[in-house]
Amino acid sequence: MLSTSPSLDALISEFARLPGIGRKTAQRLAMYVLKRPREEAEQMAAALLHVKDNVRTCSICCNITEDDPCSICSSTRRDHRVICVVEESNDVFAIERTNEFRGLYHVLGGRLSPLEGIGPDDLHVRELLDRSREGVDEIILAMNPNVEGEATTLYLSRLLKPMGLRITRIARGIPMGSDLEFTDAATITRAFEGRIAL
Amino acid sequence: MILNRLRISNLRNHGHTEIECPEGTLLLLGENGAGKTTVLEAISLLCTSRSFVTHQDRSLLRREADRYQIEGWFTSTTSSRRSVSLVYDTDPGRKQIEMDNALLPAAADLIGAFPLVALSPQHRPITAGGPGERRSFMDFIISQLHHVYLMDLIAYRRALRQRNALLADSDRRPADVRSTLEVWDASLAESAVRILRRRHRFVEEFVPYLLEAMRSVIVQREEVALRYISSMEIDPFAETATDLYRERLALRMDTDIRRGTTTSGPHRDELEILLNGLDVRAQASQGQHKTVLISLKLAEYRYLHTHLDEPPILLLDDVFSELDDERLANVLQLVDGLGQTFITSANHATLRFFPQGKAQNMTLRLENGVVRELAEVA
Repeated sequence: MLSTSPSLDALISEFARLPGIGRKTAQRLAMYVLKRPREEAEQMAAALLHVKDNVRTCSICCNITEDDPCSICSSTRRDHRVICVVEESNDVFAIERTNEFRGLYHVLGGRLSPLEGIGPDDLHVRELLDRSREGVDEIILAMNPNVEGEATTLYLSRLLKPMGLRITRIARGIPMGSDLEFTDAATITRAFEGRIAL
Repeated sequence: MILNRLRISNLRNHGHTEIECPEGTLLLLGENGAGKTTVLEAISLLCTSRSFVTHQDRSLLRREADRYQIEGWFTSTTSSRRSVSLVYDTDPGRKQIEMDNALLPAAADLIGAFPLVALSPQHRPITAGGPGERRSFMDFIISQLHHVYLMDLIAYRRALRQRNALLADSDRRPADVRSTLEVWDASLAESAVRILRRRHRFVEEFVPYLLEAMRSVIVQREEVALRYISSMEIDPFAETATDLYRERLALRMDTDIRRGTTTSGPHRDELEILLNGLDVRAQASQGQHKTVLISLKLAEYRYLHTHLDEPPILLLDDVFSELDDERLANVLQLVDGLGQTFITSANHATLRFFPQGKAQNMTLRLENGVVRELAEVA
């Protein structure tokens, strides 16, 4: 339903473009913006443009950054001999939150999925191979544990193995803080497959 | 498993229906279109997340409604109280299932928790239809017993769709096929071998149950057999089965590329049913089809019961129009000794098969989606 203001309608249809936002939510968001002070709208508009003007991908790890190379790739306090390969930038944030991993990253920008028309050339695979040729000891593959992630893991491991590096993958199993009795059978089965000697 | 209470809102012609179910047999009487089968569909949705009539959730909605809900309260053999609530809303357009008041991440997690066997005219294609019908029959039984099997099936289908997409697009992206096909092959091989192992084992275990069921449904001797015909000639129990499977896939690569689809694997296999040595699908008479179907379903019931330590709920939809009196009497006698059973019939005369006054049995009448007490016993 159109409102009595073309400007408001325009804003609603912009919000409705966003992923996960339906028409109703878009209307609510637009009404909210309308009711807030002008400065807030300016801040929001500026943030949108800023992100487009300043954010780009790191030429080394393909993660999003404002400086090239990114702060992780240019850090001297990190271990440059270990690269953790992930699907998306979000995965880097998730691993960084742990403060445990001190190596570098490589963001593929997705995973193999012919259904969505994504093949190796659509991912940052070539960049990974170039990086792996010198000064790297270990590559950790940290794809999502689903059919596409597994296929991508296998694909990369076949490409990387001939280079004589140590290729590892992160473990699959029971999440910490959860209960065994409430874990699904597939996860428990995988956890048994990946059991370790004490 | 016993369903104690069932509540239905906005499902087909049911506005609001609430039924206190007996522990024995519930007979639902009513004209065609009165909503008898819908009650059975509701129970099937609660126990397995799907109806045996349709896979389209939208078509289950009552006219003008945008949301249906089914709730069930159960008691297990160990006397523990269980519950399921299933809601379908046109927005977001999918089902949400709560088991024991906790939201399930996936509908697949419900399978096996509330074992169920359904027999309706919708199941005729199991003996008369294409191989896919018999694979579904088999897959559904195994899935209720082994959750890992269901997970393997889901993974297999996912990998298969990806591989087929790659093959279908091979003209435009030949380099991708060369560099990534073997990755999808490896993924397929892993789940396919586990699926094949489980299916072979199932067929072996299931045959004795089927033989016994056949003998109880009909008096005269007919020899029934099952034969699993694999489109991939490998021994799934061999230690190197996964590697062999991948080699076979690689050998058929050219054919697969030419056809633009994966031409062999568990999704193309057949479970042949033989009656006196002949393929039932092509050779059996109408009467034999019915006998074999009912025997398959009784065998399914006994097989699940034995392996789950929990008697499944049995749904018999419109079996009276399917069977002659003699076979019917045999079947009902068998059913009497089983767990909780829900039966629909359009014919009042069927009441004679159900001696009234047995405490664990009950008869309800349906009229246009409304449940009524049976006014008088015909």
